[in-house]
Amino acid sequence: MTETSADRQRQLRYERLVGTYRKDLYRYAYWLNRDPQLAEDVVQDAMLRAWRSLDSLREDQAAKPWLLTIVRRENARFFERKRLETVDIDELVGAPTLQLATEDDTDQDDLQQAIFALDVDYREPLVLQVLLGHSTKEIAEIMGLSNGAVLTRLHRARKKLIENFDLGEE
Amino acid sequence: MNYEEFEKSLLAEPMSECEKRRALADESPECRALERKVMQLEKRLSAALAIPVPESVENAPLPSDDVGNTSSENVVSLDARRRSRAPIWLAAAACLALVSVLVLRQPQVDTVDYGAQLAAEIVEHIGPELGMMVSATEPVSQSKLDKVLAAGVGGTQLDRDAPLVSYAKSCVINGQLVPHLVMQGEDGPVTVLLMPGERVDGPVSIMQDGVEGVILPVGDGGSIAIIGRDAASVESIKKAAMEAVEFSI
Repeated sequence: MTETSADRQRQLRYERLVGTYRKDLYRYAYWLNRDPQLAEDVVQDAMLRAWRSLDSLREDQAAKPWLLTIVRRENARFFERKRLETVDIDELVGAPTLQLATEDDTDQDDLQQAIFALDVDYREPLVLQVLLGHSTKEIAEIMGLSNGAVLTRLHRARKKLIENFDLGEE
Repeated sequence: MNYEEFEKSLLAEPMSECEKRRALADESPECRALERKVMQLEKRLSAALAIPVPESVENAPLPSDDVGNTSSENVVSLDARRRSRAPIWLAAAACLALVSVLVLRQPQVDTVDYGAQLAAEIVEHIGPELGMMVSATEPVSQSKLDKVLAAGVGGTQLDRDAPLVSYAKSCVINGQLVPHLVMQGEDGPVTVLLMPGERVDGPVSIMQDGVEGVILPVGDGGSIAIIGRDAASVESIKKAAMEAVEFSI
């Protein structure tokens, strides 16, 4: 295989894998850091990192958790920098609501606010499970936790949401 | 299974099939009510989490690798780099020696050579990744562009009439943080580096390893580099890019 052909193959593989999960990566980053601009930056850097280390991904089936782990690490790097800049990350709460729900969809807006208010330890497994469809075992691997710890966090996350969000009468 | 266990299991994995849970829900109205409530939450939760994704993310071109291919094996952790750092006095002595050499050689510096060195650094920086540039119709978000422009040394402004910028990132050229943009021209995308602190006396051609481009002087002490796959793509955007950039240092 010529160098150009190998490069093209690599490029196609990257496009196929990363292109498929682009939306998921952004949403995951967004719910992690609660800032649309920061989420965009995190995804951009994560995609660059994914491109550079694409050859280390042996099986395409493992692409999604691999990419999520990269996003998770990039996000942590951003927050480490933010911490050094002594920015209070809680100031980020609230600002992104402009992008979320439409004005006539206040229920959804309220629920999003309730999700925002969850501690990231509870919010993250919820996003991985509900939005990204991961099993408890997969979430445990991504977050570096035991299955039991993930189940406890998921339980607490939903309990808090039920307490803080009025589901209304059926 | 009692109510408490039912609740724990349901709230942790509401969509999983669990016979014991099913049996208890059939028997207990209280459990059935909780199950209905949680299912209602799940439905809303899915919709609430699926936030809209900006077009700039959906249509983002392939990343432009700023420092060449780097495998994870080659990455040295910050701690490791700190450990391997030479003593500070040695670094200070080396800096002094370097400054002395540069000062002594100053009158002999040939600007053409400097342009060639700058061109070589630019080629090294973007050359291997030039093939990744793709045509795009969606601009990078204004806030992202502003951030990248503001991050560079000195002040860099880009006129609103500038060609469409589909990618923006800060990168390092000659030790300076400069905006690295991908602009969409009539004959294809080009990479544009805005370098307010890199002076060249006249146009410097870049032609190496399939890379074609030019470094052009802009303002009093800056320059921009425009690099594309061929001369036509560079030529078609050169004038507009030059007119759109303004350095304020």
